[in-house]
Amino acid sequence: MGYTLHFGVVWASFDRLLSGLALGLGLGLAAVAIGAVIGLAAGFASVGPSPFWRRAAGLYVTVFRNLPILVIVLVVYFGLPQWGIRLDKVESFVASLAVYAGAYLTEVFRAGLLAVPKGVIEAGRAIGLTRLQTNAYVVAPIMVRNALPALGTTFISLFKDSSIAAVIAIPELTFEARKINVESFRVIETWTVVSLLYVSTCLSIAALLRALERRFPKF
Amino acid sequence: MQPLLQIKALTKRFGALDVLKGVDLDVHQGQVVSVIGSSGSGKTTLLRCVNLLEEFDGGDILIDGEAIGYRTEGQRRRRLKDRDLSRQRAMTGMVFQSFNLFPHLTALGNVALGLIKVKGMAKAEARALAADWLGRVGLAGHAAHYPSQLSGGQQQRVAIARALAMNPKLVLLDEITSALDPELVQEVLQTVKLIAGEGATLLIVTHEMRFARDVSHSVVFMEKGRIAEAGPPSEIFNNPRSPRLIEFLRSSRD
Repeated sequence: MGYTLHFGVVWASFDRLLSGLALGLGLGLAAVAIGAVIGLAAGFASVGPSPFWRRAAGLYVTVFRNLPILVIVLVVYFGLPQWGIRLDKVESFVASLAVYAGAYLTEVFRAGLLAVPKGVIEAGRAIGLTRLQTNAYVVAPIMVRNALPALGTTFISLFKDSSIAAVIAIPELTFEARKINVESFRVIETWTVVSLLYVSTCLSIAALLRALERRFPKF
Repeated sequence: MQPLLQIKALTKRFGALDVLKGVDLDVHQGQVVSVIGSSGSGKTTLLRCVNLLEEFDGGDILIDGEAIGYRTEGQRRRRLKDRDLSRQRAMTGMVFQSFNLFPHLTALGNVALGLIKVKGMAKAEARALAADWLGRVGLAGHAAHYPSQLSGGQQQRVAIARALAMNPKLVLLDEITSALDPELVQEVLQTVKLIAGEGATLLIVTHEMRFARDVSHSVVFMEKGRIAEAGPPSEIFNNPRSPRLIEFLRSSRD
């Protein structure tokens, strides 16, 4: 019993896969952008002077890093409307992935912050920078440089998590692939092409971040 | 004339350990004062208190007559707010044992950052002044280099330029040659002699006895959190009185 590969139907729907990929990238980017803001705030809080904010940041990470992204997505999309909070599909998914991303990015930034030499922070204070200025002009740039390799891994992982949006019928790459599957029964062909699209996109993200890393001075 | 720096009955504890047990010290405008003593005597802590990097428990530090770090409300002593502490820190410059340059900025960027963000200078003006200072410490050709591309001696000279460009009233030098390879010590000490010759007010913690003797107007010997002996270098080095100083000088000559 041979199975003959026929990629024809996949190519015929290739534009749908590409638009799905673009949507997935958009979802991932939006979530990472919001998550990075949350992660920066919580990361600084987690190494900051206030015990209250340190604990709050720790609690946030504990909750959202230990929930599967699928559970967060389902709770936000189906659960929150029960409390009167109604978001459309895309908003709901971006919010879910953003709080999830925020928890991981908090840890990435926290590790980067802990690796900033204490003496360099003191040097910033010694020339008269305020605490806030020292964080902005001295600590943050060094932290980002420290965190870049781990950031790359996290970004890639979050982009792949955009496939979870399929469960609430957002037409991103995985959702489109399932539809093409159902229409054509070309299981292997569809998922082969989709896998190649995911892999090549992730490799591109990795290459972009490595290029960015090279632009930073070596410490 | 009122001393530029007045330290009065300064005390500082780390937990159960009394690091400073009542230190009194005046430094006048244009004076170079060196603090010597064995490690653990409290020298570095004293400098860090003056720069407000360390909190202190009792006594006062005044710069130009202004009490720094704390205000008194009735009987209570309160640490000042961050903004006031930052303004007071800018009155002093600090050069650290381990250089502590900003690794993400070039030599020029290191010197210019404070000028732009603290002094509010325009970028072009700040960069010109920073370049000028790098020239004065003999690093005109290294403005575009990052700290990781510079030798220890060069990094420390950038740190000196960074501190002095801010035009502080007083410069604190904390064992600035201790982390350097022996052959790089002299270039840094020459730079300090240069700025001392230009009339900068310096408070120096050092293990370089010859340097302390050459550059200082006054030398202070610290022992167990107190000033055990103070005087002009000729007295301290040629005619020490306390047995501990005599012993210290003998051991540091080896």
